[in-house]
Amino acid sequence: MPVKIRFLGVLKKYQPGEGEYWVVSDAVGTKVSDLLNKVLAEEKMVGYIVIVGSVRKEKDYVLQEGDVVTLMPLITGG
Amino acid sequence: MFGYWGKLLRVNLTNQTYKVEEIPEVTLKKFLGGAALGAKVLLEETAPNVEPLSPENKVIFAVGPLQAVSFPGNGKWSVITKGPLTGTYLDSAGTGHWAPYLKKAGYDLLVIEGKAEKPVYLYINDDVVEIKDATQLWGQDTVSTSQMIKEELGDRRINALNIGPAGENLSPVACITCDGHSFAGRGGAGAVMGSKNLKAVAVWGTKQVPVHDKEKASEISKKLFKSAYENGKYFREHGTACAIVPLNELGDVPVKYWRDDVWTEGSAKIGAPRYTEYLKAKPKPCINCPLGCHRHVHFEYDGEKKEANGPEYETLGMMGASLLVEDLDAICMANDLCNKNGVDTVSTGAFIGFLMECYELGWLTKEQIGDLELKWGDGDVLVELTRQIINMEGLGKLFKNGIRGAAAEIGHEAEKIIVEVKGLDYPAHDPRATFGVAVNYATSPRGACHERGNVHAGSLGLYYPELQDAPADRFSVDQAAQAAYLHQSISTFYNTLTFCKFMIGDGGITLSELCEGLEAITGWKLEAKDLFRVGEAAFTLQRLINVRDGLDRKDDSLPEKMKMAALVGPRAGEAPTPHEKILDDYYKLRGWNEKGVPTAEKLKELELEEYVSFIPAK
Repeated sequence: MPVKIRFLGVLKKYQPGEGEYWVVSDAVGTKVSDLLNKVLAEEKMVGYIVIVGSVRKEKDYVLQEGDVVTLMPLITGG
Repeated sequence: MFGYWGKLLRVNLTNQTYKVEEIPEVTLKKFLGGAALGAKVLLEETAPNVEPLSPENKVIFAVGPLQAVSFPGNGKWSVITKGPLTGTYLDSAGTGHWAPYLKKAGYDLLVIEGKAEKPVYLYINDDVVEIKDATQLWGQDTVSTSQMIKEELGDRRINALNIGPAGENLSPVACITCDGHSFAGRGGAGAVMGSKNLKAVAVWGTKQVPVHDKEKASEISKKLFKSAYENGKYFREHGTACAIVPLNELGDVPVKYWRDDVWTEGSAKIGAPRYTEYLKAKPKPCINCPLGCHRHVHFEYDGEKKEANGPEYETLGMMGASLLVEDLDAICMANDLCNKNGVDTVSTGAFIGFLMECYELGWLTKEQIGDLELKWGDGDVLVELTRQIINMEGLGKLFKNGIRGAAAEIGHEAEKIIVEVKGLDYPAHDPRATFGVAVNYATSPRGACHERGNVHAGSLGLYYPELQDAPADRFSVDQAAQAAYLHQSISTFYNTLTFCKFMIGDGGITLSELCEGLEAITGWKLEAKDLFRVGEAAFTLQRLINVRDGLDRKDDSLPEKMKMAALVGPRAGEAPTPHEKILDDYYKLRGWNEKGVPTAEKLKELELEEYVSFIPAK
């Protein structure tokens, strides 16, 4: 099964392709950080956390089959 | 009992006495602390419609269980009172280096009542409680006051919450300051202290409150410090100024006192990264903070080079974008004047925007304005009007009763152009960019407030994975009430814990991780939904104070300007209407009746049945 990755809020503009999720068919066994390094290379102003299901994971989390990943930007305003 | 002392320190300034009272564990478990515990005391101990600046009003300082250990984001404290700007329930939270020391002194709650005959300050050092003469401090600014108290007490570690001259002069927008860079800013709590002749509250403590599992609490705390530090790299580098540009791209930042819609070039000039580079800004962290969003900046104004605490997002929004002021030096100068005199920068910026619009419309008389030209974008006008508002002289006199008083005095159609709820000026987030913000502002107990719900942050991407699937659609009328309900309850929970919201939304700590920390400290097993419920109960209790005092649906308003959609820009064609439909949805979610009054059934569901008698008869 592919891995689905959702980019929220200000990160949405970096999501490859259309739709709610970036669906990656060959990401199992890959670290989230390795997968995202190229995609988010431009982003310099905002941190983000990785959420798998409803649990926060480290950026070096190794993706499992069927994972639904959410990238939440760390920016909230004043 | 773990994580608490179960102690309330009550100080009566009229009689110059104090006593220590017990707080039962069952009460602490239900309310946790902070703005919930304070609201309970305020509701039970003050008469309906107590005059905010009278000796009968109380000023309550509260912390929560996280201050029992060194926990990230536990530098917060809450002050709870009846507010002079709105006449409503008011709580406001500040940070700095004070909150953990109130806990270490042996108290969870400090209730101050009465009025001293002459200026005093309160000194608490473990079991020592003294009401000391503050005659020499009266008239001093917030930074000098703090330094003079340290010198008088002979201990530079001692921190004193204090008021500046604005609080002494009973300005309705006077705040309470800590360390010169953190403020319980909104609604005029500083004037309540001033009305009691109370200049400061100095605290030092050395006691260790019992902790359920000290080793585990320490382990969790260290883990969260590390992860928040790593996650918060960009936030630490730029502070809240990092949000100006992305929020402007959403149409969230107020432009020209809520009349215009986008300010792209200006936002880039006052927001990060230019802010950081131009002002040589560096972090100035509060106690136990891995993020350090407060800024130390360098600027130059009127030929003089200065260093001071820098403006944060809300100030940049209200003194920059809302006035079309691109001049960071002038914004820093106005910010510093407010900080040292103890004045809310949000309302001050709103007052100036209102004046500039009135000037443009020809509603101000020559007698009122003198030789001043109130031009949009003029940094010198910003600084001059800030001075007048602080000193309540010149045009500043118009605001002795806040924006509503000023509009009534100016006449014409001024009451139609002000942007406030319950008398509290909107902070720097435009509800037309995120519809849930409108009902959030409308129903916030202290008036329009972004600290009662970071609904706008949902548009930036903030969500709570334990409680929702994804952030709400920002332009959805149908999702607006739910978004406000969620964010309000969580934000109120933060103020109940007295915990910094940035640890979650900018440090990446989750509610589940917070629950782990709370369990280690208190021994209580909590889940994210329990935190939501505590926030909901606290919010309802605060609402009950307002409805007891006669407020209802009519006061949950939407300013006229918010009904007008932009023609261009990122929120073109959008407005959070119909407001009445969103309010209906919201009241249903909250379990309030059609007038916005909490029902007896809802109070029972929230285990607040002892407060049913406070529901108005009709």
